[in-house]
Amino acid sequence: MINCKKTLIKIFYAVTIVCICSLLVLNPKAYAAEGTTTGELLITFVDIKDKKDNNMNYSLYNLFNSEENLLIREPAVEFSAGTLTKDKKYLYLSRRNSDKVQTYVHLHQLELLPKKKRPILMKGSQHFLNVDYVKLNKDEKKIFMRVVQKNHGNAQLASYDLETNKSTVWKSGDTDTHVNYFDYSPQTDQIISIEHSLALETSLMKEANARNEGTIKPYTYNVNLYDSEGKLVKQVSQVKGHILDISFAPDGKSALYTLTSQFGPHSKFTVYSLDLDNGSSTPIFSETDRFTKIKLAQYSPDSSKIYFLAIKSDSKPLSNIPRRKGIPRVLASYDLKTKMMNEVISKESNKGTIIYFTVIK
Amino acid sequence: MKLLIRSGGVAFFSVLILLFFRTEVTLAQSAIPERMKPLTIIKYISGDKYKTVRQGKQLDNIETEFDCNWVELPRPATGMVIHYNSNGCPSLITGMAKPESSTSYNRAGLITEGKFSNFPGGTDERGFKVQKYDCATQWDLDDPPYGTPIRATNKETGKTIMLRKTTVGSLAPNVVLDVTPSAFKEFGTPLRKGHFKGEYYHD
Repeated sequence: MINCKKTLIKIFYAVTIVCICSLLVLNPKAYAAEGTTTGELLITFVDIKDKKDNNMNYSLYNLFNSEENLLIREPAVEFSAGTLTKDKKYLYLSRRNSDKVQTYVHLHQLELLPKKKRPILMKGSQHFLNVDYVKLNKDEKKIFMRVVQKNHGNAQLASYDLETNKSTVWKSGDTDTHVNYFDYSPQTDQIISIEHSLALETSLMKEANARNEGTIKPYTYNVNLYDSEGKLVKQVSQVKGHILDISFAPDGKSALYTLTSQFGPHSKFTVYSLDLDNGSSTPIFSETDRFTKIKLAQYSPDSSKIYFLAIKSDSKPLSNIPRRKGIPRVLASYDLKTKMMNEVISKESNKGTIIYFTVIK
Repeated sequence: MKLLIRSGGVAFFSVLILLFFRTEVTLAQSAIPERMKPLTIIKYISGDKYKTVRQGKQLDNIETEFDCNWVELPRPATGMVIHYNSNGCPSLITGMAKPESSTSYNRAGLITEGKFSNFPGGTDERGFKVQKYDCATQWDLDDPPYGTPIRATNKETGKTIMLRKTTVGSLAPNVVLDVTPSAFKEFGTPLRKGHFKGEYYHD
């Protein structure tokens, strides 16, 4: 009888341990300490570690265990913004491509697994002068990107079909609407973009320069929602100021954007939440004395935090050479519950600065 | 006698061939020419030879008596392409194995200091149709996204102008920003000077 009880107790303990272990393996959030976030960030940073060269790096950062996996490192020549497939096999990125005299920035594919190969040019992007802000759609058959066409001064939205290797520019004949930034939501399969008139920008620039004002008056931006085929779903809102970027919330029902009312070295930025149903904006947080020049605000996958890039007030220049005195940007987070800001990733020790990142959705 | 005639014939045809190719291939000195006709583009086909990709022309409204010595030029190398601006000074160098100068470093949100020069209008090396307030940043120093607003100041005259970054290039090593001739004049510095000390900012 006693032996039977002991056996039952042992079985109970064993079952309990197996249950707990299964829970931990299947759902890491269950054992994450409060305030710990799961998910990954794709980071682009530049470093001057080699003294003579600037190097462009792409890395994958795990938010749970803080592990970082360097995907590519090459001499920095162009602003680059890429996207990673879910299986982490391919990185699509904008990259320099040269012919005999002229140089362009085109879409490239870098195979990472099973063995890292050299980036190859995606030939359907060859007729553009510039490609940036590359994002994959949910079934990974299409890429959304910002492009500049020949004889155009404005950047436009375009899609790239990975099966046919053909690209389609949305509103192809429009030479006035300039797309500043955009984001894609795999949840709703929609694109949100901030756009302004190039004619208005030129006119405000001429006015500012004629008056020697040293700054430019606020632009009026249209915040538009498109379906994945490029059809306008709705104009969400009009915003006046200087917007740097926009990003969807994980549920695709709201967005974040970073805004300043005045352009210049003393400008102060605020992150707003935009309700996509009624177009209303609510300020969430502004830059502080510690974290300045906020940009690229994006929700964490569980919507508990907002990640952003910033310059820390106590950061030191990367070099003592007077003309090489760049101050590094770090990746920081804002906790929506505690309203605290914390540094997450810094490349200062490697003489680097983070220039772009995306929260992997 | 026959040998003499044959030698003469060979020499004659050699001279003809040399004359034919005289505009295409030029034996260069050990250094890149510090001045050419405005808007000229040359390309080095070896360490000491270049061919003219685009023949420059004399522009009526540009004074040509100026000094290009301020531009620090790298040693010529095969594949290097040098673009001369409307003053005839080198303003853009492409085809270098890696940037010759990394003496300045700057990324978003900071102020960059250095020399400003000017590049001709029309179409630039990236194929962009250049507008008055377009500008190019130095590729090894700073490359904000296309269309980024730039606040640029001439530190010699104090004049500030708003510009728009459209392109990037391997500018002359001590140059941080390349602007159009008309924007250059708006900064209050005559074109004949070719450069001035400046600083710029972008978010």
